[in-house]
Amino acid sequence: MSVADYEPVIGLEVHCQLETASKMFSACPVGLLAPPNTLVDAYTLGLPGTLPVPNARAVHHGIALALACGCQLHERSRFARKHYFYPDLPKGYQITQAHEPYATGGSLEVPGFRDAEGRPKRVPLVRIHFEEDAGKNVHVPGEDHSLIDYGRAGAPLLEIVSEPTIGSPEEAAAYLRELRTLVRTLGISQANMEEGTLRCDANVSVRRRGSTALGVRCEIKNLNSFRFLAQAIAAEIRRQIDLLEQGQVIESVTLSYDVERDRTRVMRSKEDAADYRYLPEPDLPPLWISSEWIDRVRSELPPLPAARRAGYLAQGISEDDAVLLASEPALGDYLDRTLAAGAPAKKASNWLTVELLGKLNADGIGIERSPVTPEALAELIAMVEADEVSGRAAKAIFASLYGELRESEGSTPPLTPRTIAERDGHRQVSDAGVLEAAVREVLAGHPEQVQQFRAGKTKVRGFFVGQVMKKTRGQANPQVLGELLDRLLGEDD
Amino acid sequence: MSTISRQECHELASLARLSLNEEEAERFAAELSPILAYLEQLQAVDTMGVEEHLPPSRPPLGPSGPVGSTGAVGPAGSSSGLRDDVTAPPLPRERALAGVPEVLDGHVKVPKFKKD
Amino acid sequence: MTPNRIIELSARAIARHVREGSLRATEVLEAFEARADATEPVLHAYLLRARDEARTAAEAIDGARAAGHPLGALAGVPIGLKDLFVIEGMHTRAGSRILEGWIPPYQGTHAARLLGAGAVITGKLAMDEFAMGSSNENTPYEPVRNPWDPRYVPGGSSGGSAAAVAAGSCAAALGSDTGGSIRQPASLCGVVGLKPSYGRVSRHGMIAFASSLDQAGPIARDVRDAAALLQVLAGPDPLDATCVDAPVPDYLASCDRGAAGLRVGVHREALASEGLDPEVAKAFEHALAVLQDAGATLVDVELPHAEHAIATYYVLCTAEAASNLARYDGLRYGARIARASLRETYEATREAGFSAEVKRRILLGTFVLRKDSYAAYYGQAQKVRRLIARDYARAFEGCDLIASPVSPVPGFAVGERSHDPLTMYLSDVFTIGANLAGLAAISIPAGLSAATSGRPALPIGVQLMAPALQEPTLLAAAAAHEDATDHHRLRPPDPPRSATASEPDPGAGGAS
Repeated sequence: MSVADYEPVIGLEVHCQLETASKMFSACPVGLLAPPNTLVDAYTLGLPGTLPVPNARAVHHGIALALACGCQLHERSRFARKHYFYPDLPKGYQITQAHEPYATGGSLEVPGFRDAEGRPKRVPLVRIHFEEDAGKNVHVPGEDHSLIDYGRAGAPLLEIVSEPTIGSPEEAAAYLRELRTLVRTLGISQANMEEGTLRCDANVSVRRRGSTALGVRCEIKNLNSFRFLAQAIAAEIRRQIDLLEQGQVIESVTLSYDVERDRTRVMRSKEDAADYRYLPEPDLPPLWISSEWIDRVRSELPPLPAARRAGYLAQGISEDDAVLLASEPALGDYLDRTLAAGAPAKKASNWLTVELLGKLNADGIGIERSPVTPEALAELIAMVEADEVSGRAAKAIFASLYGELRESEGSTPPLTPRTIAERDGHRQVSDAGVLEAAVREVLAGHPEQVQQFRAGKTKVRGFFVGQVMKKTRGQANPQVLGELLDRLLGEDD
Repeated sequence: MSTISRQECHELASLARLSLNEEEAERFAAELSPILAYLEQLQAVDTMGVEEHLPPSRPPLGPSGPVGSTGAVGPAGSSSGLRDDVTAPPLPRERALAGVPEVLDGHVKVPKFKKD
Repeated sequence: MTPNRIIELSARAIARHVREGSLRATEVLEAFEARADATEPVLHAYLLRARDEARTAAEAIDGARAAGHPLGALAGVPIGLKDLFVIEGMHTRAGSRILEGWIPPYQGTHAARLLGAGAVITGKLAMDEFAMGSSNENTPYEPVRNPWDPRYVPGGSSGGSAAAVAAGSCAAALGSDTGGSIRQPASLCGVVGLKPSYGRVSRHGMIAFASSLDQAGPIARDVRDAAALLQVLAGPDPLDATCVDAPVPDYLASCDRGAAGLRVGVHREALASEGLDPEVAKAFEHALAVLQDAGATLVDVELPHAEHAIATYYVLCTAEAASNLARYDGLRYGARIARASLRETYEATREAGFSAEVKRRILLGTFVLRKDSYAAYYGQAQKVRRLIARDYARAFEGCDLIASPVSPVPGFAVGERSHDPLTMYLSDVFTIGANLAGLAAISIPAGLSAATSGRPALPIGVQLMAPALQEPTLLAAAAAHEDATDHHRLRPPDPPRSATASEPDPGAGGAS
């Protein structure tokens, strides 16, 4: 058999740190770049006599994500203790939600991927639940000790578990990107893989194409970038297919990804997996989420990426642009404001993705700090649409507007596309009377070329256009000019 | 009737990070077996349809219910037992680490380990 | 006032004197300290005497009064805390070597509220390690002795608290009760022990044994003192999510309501058990008669699942204990036995830090929580617990209170039972129902057993139980009983008999 005879089945377990001021179960501040063991309180350190009290904002954030994914929200859920001994786990157990998570079901649309029926691919979710983070271990090479920083311990996390229905490494990366987009859009997480506020484990199995049974799954831990996620899954698929091709059986193991050698490495066998001795958390009453609370969160939800994409596609925006523009809440917001100011969708999306993002990316500026406002962009587009300025002039206006606003940082009197067009003489002349005089003047000044044209050398027409443009400093409406030229050149002297 | 072997005592001890010598394992096995046998009476109780006991809590009182006592975010309807997302000062590091048996560079120092 | 008169005062009277200026807090403290100096060499009720902190606190009270500041409800009252209560800056061990050297960097709710009310904390009282035990013998330290006869145990696990209050080495004390650990030692030492309803008093700052059963409460010399302490301790706490958010009634006022019209339930079936000492049965019947004289009526109640209470309790408490004690790994606090590898460090630390009884319960708790035994043990026990709670709820439809003995025996000698954990567990039969069902319960003095050749005269307690949050009813009946009797005025021998002179021979019944 060959590689093509197998298909991978992938499920992701994603941990997302929630954006809150305090930790999941105590008032200790949360932070990313604090010196070791400075963001700790009695609870964080697991000191005897301390008790957990859940953070209502973390729950609020969890409700928002569950709503955005169409999960079933459970009125009553429970926390549980998951026991294992590990130095970064201060209490000897982690508070998580085990048998009664607050949200189950739902799905996440993966942009750019289609299901068997050709519809946009949706990856179903098993569950979403709350838990608290562990501390950080620092292993010092060559030393006989390790060091622990409990600053991250107790940070609020959501764990989002997908069904194993992801079909390729690329789809897995796209799923994770979409999840990142979603939580950022909701404003519930910074979801930054480099900083560890978004983390991913992948369950991978392979099976014969056409088979419906799942193969033995292996778990790859700690995939900390989109690229490594896809590479690691691809490497693991290769490893499993190789084993099967050699007639071996796949054992359920936990793996890590070796970036240098681009292969997965077995960390431990699942056989000796710990018995976590789950215990319903006796220190916490059930978590009650009322329908009223859910309604309130729902009413405050921002436009969601999938809905945005669908809306953009329906307005004629290309799929690539729609995915791009819905990928960052600030981008989508920018586009939506541009559209709200009256710009046609396709034009607005072109201007935004080509001109504006081109400049912003070159300058390393985020869209939220764009010197050109959506309203100004819409005005410029409207001027082009109304033939007030030519496309070329519009680009010049845009360049001036962007450059000058960026220089002045808004301190000069208001600059708009129109004021620049006036100031720099970019306004297009569409008045046939005005243009006719200019055309006649040009024709009169170049009798030789007129002769050539009439002799059949129609290429000379471009020469006349250039001359008129020069005369009108580029302001002539090309269409009106063309019609005039054709008419006047067709006239007999 | 359940009894518990020395081997099982060792396994339980390992899960709980206790180390038992043979003598202790023997003694605990002898002591725990009659206790387990006594606890086995619970299996005979008919608990069909009975839910597990829950800690006291106040379910939400519905759309017209009172605001949660914590005045939590999304407060109306949030149950008691939650707190607002408000911070309190963390422990100063010297106090946080004062009782730690071994400290190095502001970290808690432990024997080297790898994930097991 | 002479020191001997001072230590005879109730906590309420002390606070009144201190507020009115007829006694100084320092003077009160000195009287109780002198008493402790005399009794401690025999009783060992204190694990730690906080002489300096107590003196500073007492001086602050006197200073506040001199400055004209208002004083709290417990102004100048010397109060001891069981060692599992966290007091910021004070060595706290929960009676275990594994916490040796731990100085909490945060303040527990109980200490904060008591200090806020003007109490003077005299120190940390001895206990069974991590509150696991009924005799105070589960300790790596000197076991506490019963002030009535040092050859006898004070009960447990709050044995130090009960012994100290009985001996007068503090005016009142704080204990914790998971399966009877306030009430049983109170009964064995002849004082009042109140276990509030689950969630009535915060657990923040109380080192956990079994979280769903643990409750803090006062041990005092009379019912009204217990009420006065509860008044200070009770009420919601933002640091404990299981603390009940209900208003706190005037407990002292409810002590004066009397017992007239109250229906007192008796579970006759439980009394028929063969383990019940005749002296205990006699004292119990007498207490019922006193309540009837005070206007209460008796009704029989049924508790069909009561026979499963002990099994239920031991599944739950060991599972939760195994979980709660997982944090003691020697990495962040307490004693570490350093070894080359992490795993060996864990094991050596826990091996050296925990006593045999604690290990026994951790092993049992680990067993019942294992994946393959959870449903049959822990899950099933939580269901049976619900049935037990339902039994009580049904019983309380026909009565206001349920009365029972506290301990099946008046007491037992040091060493008499420590070899047999199951028998020790079975002696909790009357007390654990209140913990399983989250009820309010109190142990009140009901007289002394008759001295025999095999056993000296020892105090006997009687238990009253009320539905959750019905402490006012509980206190009304308990105070009515107390007002009609003199049992609470009985005092152990002073000075205490020496324990070492005549160790009892358990096999021979202890007489010498």
